[in-house]
Amino acid sequence: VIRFYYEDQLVELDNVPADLTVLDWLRLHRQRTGTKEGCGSGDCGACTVVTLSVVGDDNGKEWLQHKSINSCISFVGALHGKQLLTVESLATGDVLHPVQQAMVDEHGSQCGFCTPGFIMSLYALYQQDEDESVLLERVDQALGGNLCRCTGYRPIKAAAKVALDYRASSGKGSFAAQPEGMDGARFEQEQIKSLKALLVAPVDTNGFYQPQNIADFASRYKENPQARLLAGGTDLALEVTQQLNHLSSIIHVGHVPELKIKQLHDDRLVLGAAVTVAECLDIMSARLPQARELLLRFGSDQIRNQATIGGNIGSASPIGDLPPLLLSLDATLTLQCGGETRDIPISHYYKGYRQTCLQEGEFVRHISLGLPTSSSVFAIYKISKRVEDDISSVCAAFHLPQNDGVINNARVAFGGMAATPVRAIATEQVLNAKPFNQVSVRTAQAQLAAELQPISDARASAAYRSQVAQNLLQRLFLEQSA
Amino acid sequence: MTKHDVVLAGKSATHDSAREHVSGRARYVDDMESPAGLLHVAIGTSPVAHGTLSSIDLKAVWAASGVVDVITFDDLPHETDIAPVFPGDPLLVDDEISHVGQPLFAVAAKTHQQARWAVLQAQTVIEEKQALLDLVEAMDTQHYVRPPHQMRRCNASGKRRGKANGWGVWWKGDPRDGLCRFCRPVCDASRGECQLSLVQTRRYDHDGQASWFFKPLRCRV
Repeated sequence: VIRFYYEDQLVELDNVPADLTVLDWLRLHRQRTGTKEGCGSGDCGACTVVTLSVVGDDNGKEWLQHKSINSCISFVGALHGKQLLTVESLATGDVLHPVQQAMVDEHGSQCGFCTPGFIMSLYALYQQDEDESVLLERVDQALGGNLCRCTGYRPIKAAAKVALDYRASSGKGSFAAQPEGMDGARFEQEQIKSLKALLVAPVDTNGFYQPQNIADFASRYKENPQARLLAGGTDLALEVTQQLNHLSSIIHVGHVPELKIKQLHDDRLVLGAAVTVAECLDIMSARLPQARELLLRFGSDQIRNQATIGGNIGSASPIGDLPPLLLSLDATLTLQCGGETRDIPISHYYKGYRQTCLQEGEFVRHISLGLPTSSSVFAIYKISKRVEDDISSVCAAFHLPQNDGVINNARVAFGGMAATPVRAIATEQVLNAKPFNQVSVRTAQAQLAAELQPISDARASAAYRSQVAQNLLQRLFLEQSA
Repeated sequence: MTKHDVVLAGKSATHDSAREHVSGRARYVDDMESPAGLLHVAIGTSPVAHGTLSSIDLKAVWAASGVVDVITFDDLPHETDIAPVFPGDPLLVDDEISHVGQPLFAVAAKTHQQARWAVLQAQTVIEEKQALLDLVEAMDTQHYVRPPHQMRRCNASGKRRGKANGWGVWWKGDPRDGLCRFCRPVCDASRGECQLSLVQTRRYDHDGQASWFFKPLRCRV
């Protein structure tokens, strides 16, 4: 049985389709139509809702995390053990939540269709455990996954400021269900207790299976390799909403602790396949700051809160943004099938357009990547038509370790330049054993143009991609020489 | 409402639906409860920007679950063009396709999902043609959305064309004489200085990208 709280009501579902989206459940099953369907593909944010889930640190401290997600590409089974809040959940009677009141006062709505999504993105921001000054800096990021086509963003951003100013003076509060007289901290502890109580048994209902440990997951997947693996679902769900396919058998990996590991060693980072991009951003901001911009421009908050490293690798899309980063750092993938595991370098993983070396019933368990040393030149660039929430035309990662003034073991990796994420191996060889100077860059650029023949599509022409790839190497050189 | 309650210009007034928008209580068509027996329509659209629709095979669409009716251009009873001012916006494609996503046929089914699914079952044969996607090329080959026309104030050497001498005289012309691209529809019979509100275009090529700049000027013919 799928069990979660919608507002303060316990919901138990055991006869819904495995691929029922949260949006369809809200609108069609519960007639809660405040949440809107815009694009049906996680781009516009009109369907944004907020989930509360219990997270903890190594010291046993636990707290509730508020996450904005796109309900149109989230399956209802993934809500198991969480609490769901929608735009209808925030007001107390006639008293609006501060973000709602601020949007009214600052004229932040016009046709109103995108507004519920903006409200929920702002609400998720408002509920974060950070100082208002930090959150004010994060307004653009929080709204990066919401499109408005008539009001314009200025009044919406003004509303964000007004709401955060109010929070600074009046405190955070909670949503309507907080009983009067109960303080916030105690209420949070009560909620944590209720949510954890939901997670006692694995979900196995109507084709939706949610294992709670790696052994159960591996054996279940080996027995039923036709099942689709659901991590964040930001790619998988498009098969349902865009291609109208029906997914009758889904294994959700979000509660397998072995897939959520985050280990930082001196020179290596080990991340479980189900670590989200948002979590990855937190870790890498400290230890791999060069990756920060790429990760901040990976989808939107709503997408980053759901999408996982394993999913980005597993879908084998040629324009995934993590693979170039991982290729440039010689990442090793640990794959598992049943009880067997094997390690392969990520450069051997991609076999063709959306094809990988994964065997039937095999999955990515975790990934280990070497961190660049201080003598390495390391940079990642993402070129896309829009800054936020857009697919790369070209994504480039350069990792140029240097010994005695010459490049040694260069890694040059791209997304968007071939049918798979690729390393430009001939270009790497041209750079090896040379100093990183203008002459080497020119030679490498010529090699790059000869080595990679990208395609033309709606995002960029082949000639543009090829030119951009070469220019990015020059940009790296100019940045390093500055 | 008394006279004093009226919000005057210069005072901030909130949108009268703002509270409904921000709380999810504003109702849109898709939010209304459907009456019993409501059918849902989905549209089959063109995947290409330009072409000729040679045939549509709708057998599988008709056979799809929940389908109640399917219509094409031939089923439209009266007016087939729904453009509000000038003709040029066919409700469904007859044979000529002029943009991606142009409606080719419509399916009514018992559920929204059934209608969308049924649409995907159609077999269309489209003879794709070269699409004109570039402004410069369209100007050069005179592929205009509407025939060219200009608004002008005529003051050309005492000669006056058209009935009115003020703003707002609309001219159509055949731009094939020896005058500049934008003057020629208007200035063909003029002599001396012609005080026109005209536009001149300039083209700057940079890596194959073309930009057009428009500005009014005085034209000598």
